[in-house]
Amino acid sequence: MSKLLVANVGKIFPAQANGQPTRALMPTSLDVGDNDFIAILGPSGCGKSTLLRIIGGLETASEGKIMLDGVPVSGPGADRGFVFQSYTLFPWLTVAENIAFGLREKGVAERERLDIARGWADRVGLSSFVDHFPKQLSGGMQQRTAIARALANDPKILLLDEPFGALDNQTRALMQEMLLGIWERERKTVLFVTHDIEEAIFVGSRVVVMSARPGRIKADIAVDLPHPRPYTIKTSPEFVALKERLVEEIRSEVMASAH
Amino acid sequence: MKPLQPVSAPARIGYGIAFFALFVALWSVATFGGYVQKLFLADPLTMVREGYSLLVQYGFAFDIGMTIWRVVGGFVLAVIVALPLGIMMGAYKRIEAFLEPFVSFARYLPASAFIPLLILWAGIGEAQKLLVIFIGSVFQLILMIAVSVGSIRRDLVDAAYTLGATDTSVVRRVLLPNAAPEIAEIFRLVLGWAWTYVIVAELIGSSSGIGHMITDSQALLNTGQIIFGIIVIGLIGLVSDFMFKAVNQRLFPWAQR
Ligand SMILES: Nc1ncnc2c1ncn2[C@@H]1O[C@H](COP(=O)(O)OP(=O)(O)OP(=O)(O)O)[C@@H](O)[C@H]1O
Ligand SMILES: [Mg+2]
Repeated sequence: MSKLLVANVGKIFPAQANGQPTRALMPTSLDVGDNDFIAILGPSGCGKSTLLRIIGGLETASEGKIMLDGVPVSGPGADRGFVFQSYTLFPWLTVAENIAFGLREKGVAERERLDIARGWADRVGLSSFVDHFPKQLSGGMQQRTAIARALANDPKILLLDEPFGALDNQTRALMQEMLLGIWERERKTVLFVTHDIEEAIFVGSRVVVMSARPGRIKADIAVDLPHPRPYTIKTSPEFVALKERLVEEIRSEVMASAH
Repeated sequence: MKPLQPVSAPARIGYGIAFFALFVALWSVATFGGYVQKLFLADPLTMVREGYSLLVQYGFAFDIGMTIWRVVGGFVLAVIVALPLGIMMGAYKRIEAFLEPFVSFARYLPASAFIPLLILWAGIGEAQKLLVIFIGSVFQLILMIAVSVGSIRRDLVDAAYTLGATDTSVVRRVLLPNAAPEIAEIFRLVLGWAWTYVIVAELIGSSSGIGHMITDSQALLNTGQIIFGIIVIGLIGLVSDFMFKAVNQRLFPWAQR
């Protein structure tokens, strides 16, 4: 049975003052298996964030429905971890307290939740920063904390909206490896939005390509590269071939949206 | 000078004191130099002498204590009312829609204009003084607290919900801590305004307090005492400002730039 089922989900934003309503997402269907790592790729403005926010319950769908483990989704909840493109750590909490935020909501005792938080800080390589405030961290460290914060809640599915979009290339590559390592160990189900083709292939076990605005799913391509994936895999012939194929898909979309 | 270039802490204190020195120097030149008549403006030495006699002979310390108690008392009452209301207004738009127009209107009612009415209602005792401070600060506090609670980054709220937060815990664990440093800053600011109201309240119908001393001194044309009273108010303000800043820095280390 599929973990997450997206059935004909579309979104129309209501008209602003003297404007037209905006169709951000055409009815879209997606079937996500357990432990899948799906990379969603598409040009800017095609509705990737909109789709992810609907799955996360932060936006309501104009049509269609979403089922997680066979249960319809309505509103946000701890069963769907979300990592935002912007930095969303709570500035008044330390790294450990940020990671433990959801656990406290669940009523986990203080000792236990700090233990869990420390464990996750360790896994994202921040064990010596647990008592730092977010403003004392680099962007990459903040996003690692945000990922740890989402995972500490033990969600059924992890939703990531261009989490590394604001980072430089080197940091971004390290973060991809870290995320992939976590996924290989923890076997989470992940939806990962990006507009970076290489990133999508490197982390994804499936790459879903969306069309230009208003978005719909245009291609769904399995990535059969073996795990664990070393960073060097980015220069292998299979990787390069996949990349060329995706570049073509995206190129035609960007051309379409430019007209 | 480069724009926004920081100044070291010792230099900063030095500059601050330098201006006070300059101010006293100008004042001395104007008074000792005979440019201003003694009747209108006492010189600094007379002021200090008058102040000394006020303190040791006339029990001015008691007046200072009374004034501080009135300001703090009225202000604390205003905070007790304004804090929950401001938080509710900031967090819940329906409550804001209900209260905001009235509070905005009430904010412009001048507290000092209420004094005759308050004397009628509450006499010239302590209740009237506290009420002037209360009226002067409560509406300002409510509005400013509401704005600071409501001005939160939307994505922080979204993040809290995706971590399983309930509506009440979004208010308690996100909106409140986010606004806390600004609310502390609002307290500091409004307390400063409260000082101006208390003096006005004491100028009219009062038998103690700094404002009362100032009216008495005016009758005697003792400008030295008047200036001493004004300077005491300034000094108290300065000290309370410093205390607020120090406490805020300790309470909210994450909010310091
Ligand atoms: N709250 C909103 N109100 C109206 N229109 C919106 C709103 N949010 C998004 N849109 C519109 O919906 C479309 C899709 O937006 P979305 O943010 O999902 O794109 P995206 O694929 O995530 O783009 P990017 O890669 O730039 O982040 C855009 O054209 C945008 O203008
Ligand atoms: Mg987006």
